[in-house]
Amino acid sequence: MLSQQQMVGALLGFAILALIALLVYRKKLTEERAAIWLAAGLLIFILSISGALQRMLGTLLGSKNVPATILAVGVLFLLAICLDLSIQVTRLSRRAKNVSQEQALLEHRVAELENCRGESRGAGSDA
Amino acid sequence: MTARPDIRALVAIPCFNERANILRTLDDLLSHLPEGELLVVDDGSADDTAAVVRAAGLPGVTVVRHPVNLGYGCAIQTAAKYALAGSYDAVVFFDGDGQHSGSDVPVALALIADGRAGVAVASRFLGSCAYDIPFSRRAGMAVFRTLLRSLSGLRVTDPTSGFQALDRRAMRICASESFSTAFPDADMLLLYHRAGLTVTEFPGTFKPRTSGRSMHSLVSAIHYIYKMSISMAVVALTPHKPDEAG
Repeated sequence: MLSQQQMVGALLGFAILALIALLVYRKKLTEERAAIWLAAGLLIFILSISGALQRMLGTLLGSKNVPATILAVGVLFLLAICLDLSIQVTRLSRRAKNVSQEQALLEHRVAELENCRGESRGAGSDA
Repeated sequence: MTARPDIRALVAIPCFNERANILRTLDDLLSHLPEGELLVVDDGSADDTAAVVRAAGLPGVTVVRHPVNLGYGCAIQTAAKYALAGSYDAVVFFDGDGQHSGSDVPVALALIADGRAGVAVASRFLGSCAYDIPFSRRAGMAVFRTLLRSLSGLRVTDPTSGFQALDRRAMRICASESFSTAFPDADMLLLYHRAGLTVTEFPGTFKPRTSGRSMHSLVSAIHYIYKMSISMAVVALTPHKPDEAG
């Protein structure tokens, strides 16, 4: 029989999983980005209902309090998510920079080609 | 370029909100390089810097404009990409705020053309500087000068100089993802040096800004020190890639 704390934890984990599934279904979150959140929800769900896993992690983290163990695991996951997002932001910034530079160079090239076309038309009409 | 007919060079002028200074800077350059090829890289200015240059219709002057402000490092990287695509032999980075002197450009290009430098850097300490450098900036320069020397043996008096001339190998590094686009200074000199390029300084003439605001502030100074320390450590620890310089 699950305790009240375990029930709340399991519901929280399930709610996270359901929310992520909904966001993926509505295309507001890609499958790739959803992976780490799904893992977090799944871990919270399993950790809440598995007494053995709680004891093992509690020993590892030096905690005899179940909610504190779950909270510590949650914080570690949040740190992992923050790091992952920072890496993504760095990658996207680099891509945005490259796209902006390419756009600036292409804009110049287009203007150059339009000038050339205008000049050749002018030369053609003169002839 | 008339000063060195044996190499084809581009003088790139990165600028951000330099409406008041840009035409004076271009006039200075064209007076020393009447047939020079100049590229103004407007880094998404909020004022009409690009429009002012285009309207002036100066001979040999091309304008490229970033759609958004990307930063000084990105502006010079855009210039390096442009120069590589245009098959230039050398590119000179020349600040748009009027602090550099057009008379120094042929000196820099001579070093590149003769093969005495892969990267030629103008030094305000070997030449002249007509304004007082704040103590904090002097201290920062001293720290990074020492760090550069201890990490690579490279002796540079002015590691924060924005007046640089690059040959094609250095241009490739500048256009690559290895190039640090946030405040590229001592870390990039270290990168060029580790890629086997000769980094040479020459005496430069530095003038005070006549108008506008410098990009250096207290916040950017702290960011600069943080970024430069990390970036230099990364460059020093990254295995040398000789193929990168081509």
